[in-house]
Amino acid sequence: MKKSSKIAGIAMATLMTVSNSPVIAEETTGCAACSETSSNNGETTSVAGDRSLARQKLIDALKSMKNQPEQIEFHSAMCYKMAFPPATIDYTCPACGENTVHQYNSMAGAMVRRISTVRRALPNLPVKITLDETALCSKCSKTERAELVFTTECGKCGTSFSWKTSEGNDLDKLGWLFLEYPVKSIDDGPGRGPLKNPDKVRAMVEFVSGCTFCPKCIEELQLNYEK
Amino acid sequence: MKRLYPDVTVPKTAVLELTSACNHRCVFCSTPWDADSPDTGKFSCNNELSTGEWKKCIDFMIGKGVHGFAFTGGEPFLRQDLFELIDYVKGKTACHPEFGADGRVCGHKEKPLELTIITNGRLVTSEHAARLKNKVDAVVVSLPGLKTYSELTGGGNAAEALRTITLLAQQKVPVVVSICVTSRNLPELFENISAGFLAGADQLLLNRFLPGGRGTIHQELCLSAEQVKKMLRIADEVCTTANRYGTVGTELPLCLCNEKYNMLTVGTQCAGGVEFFAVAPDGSVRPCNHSPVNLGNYQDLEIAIASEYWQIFKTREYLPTMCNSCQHMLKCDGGCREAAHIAGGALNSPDPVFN
Repeated sequence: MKKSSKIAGIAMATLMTVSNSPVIAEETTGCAACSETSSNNGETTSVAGDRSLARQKLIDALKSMKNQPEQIEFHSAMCYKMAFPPATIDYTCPACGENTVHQYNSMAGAMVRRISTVRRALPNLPVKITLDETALCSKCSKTERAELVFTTECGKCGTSFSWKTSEGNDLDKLGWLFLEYPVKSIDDGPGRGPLKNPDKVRAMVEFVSGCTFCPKCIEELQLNYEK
Repeated sequence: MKRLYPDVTVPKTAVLELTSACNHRCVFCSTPWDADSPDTGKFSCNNELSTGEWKKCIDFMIGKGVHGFAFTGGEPFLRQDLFELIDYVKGKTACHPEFGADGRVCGHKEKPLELTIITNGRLVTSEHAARLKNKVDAVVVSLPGLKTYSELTGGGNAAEALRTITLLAQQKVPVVVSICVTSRNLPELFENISAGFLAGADQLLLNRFLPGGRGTIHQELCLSAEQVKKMLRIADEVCTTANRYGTVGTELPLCLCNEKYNMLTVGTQCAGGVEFFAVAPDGSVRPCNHSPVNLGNYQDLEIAIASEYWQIFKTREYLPTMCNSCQHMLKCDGGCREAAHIAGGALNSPDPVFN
């Protein structure tokens, strides 16, 4: 018997086991990922024990499959931001209507992917910030460099000043503008819990203050870390 | 910058719902044109496109810059001309731009179109599996439960879907096991995913139940926030054990999936109307397969995309008020917007997981 046929046989056996289990499709409480299940019918201990054995057999079978995972490039399925993106992304200039094609994984492509969320987020800030995205349009652009230019009305004195994002890191930093204020805790990313790294906290403070206050007011408000 | 022009670029993937016929009556089915759906009257799916009309539609889409198709339904294997349409797509190419060092387009190249088939698998024979070899990029086989399979699908049993997965794997057709997770089949999710992998699936596509279509009246199947987290933990555990990749369809609010997953990719932004769109059996278009709106015939695609409804997807101006002060708002759309629309009455309603 070929190994693949044997493994497929285990799939069928799994189906049979599950179909004969009085618990699996009826339980409403407890963890489906472990045997710590509390059923309401009093059969918990023995059934959970049987299930635990069946689960271990499944785990052994899964581990015995070929080791190299197949990563299928199917972005024709639905709903989600695709795990495997297309090669290009289109950008329609809101000012002139020109369509510009960018490489999906280029810096400009990353900006196009984020631009609609940046546009919708800016009005929610307590400081007025406007966005100039002409660099993404092949017709309107005056620069070869992909960049987003922001103009802020200083949160203290109202003076206008501009700043740019032109690197991948800058795009990620934009998210720092949208922390809930007053800041009580900052999430350090998936699975990492609250941010504790002082260098990163400092970078955040510098970035956020640099986007919302003019240099003069940063000094006055003593937001300058150096001092 | 003030917007003077709408974004009418055509998404790169078209989901063609080839037929409204289906051998299942899944309680979670979200197709709005189904006879059991409260929105069925907005569509005329008794007038399905013929073979020639689908070919015209495919040509039209390729001409508009579509690079890939998904064939679904209903059940696509109920169409007698399915392989004729598969061959038709695979006989065509898509025009892909090439880029110079400056990032500007410097030429074009013809490349094969991508094609995915989404099926419940029950009608797939060994002959079909052999014919699919080297023709499709993936076949997505639905396996929504093991013991709960019949209850959720209204017919058949999981063994038939598992057999199809094995048949396809034996022919080396890339096969993805797709599971719509509901409050009913969540307790057997570990076994469900395991069975799919052991039958030969290369990858997992996990969807959570969302109201819509026939599922509109089965909102008790919705997962709670805790159940969503549990679903993700179980899926990642099985994928990691089997060393297989998994993807979560139907985007989730980032606040529910802010853990680290080894083999599971979790989407938090809606691709509807931006990266894909759907064509119903009658040829009408919608920004998303969940959309309960009919925006007119595919031949007026740009008019549909320019519509106020589709532009909400393009501009992503659908964030719920509850998310307006969230630090994740640049990376998250607050869950599925169409499910929110169906459950809450507006595209910017909270995702049903928060109800």
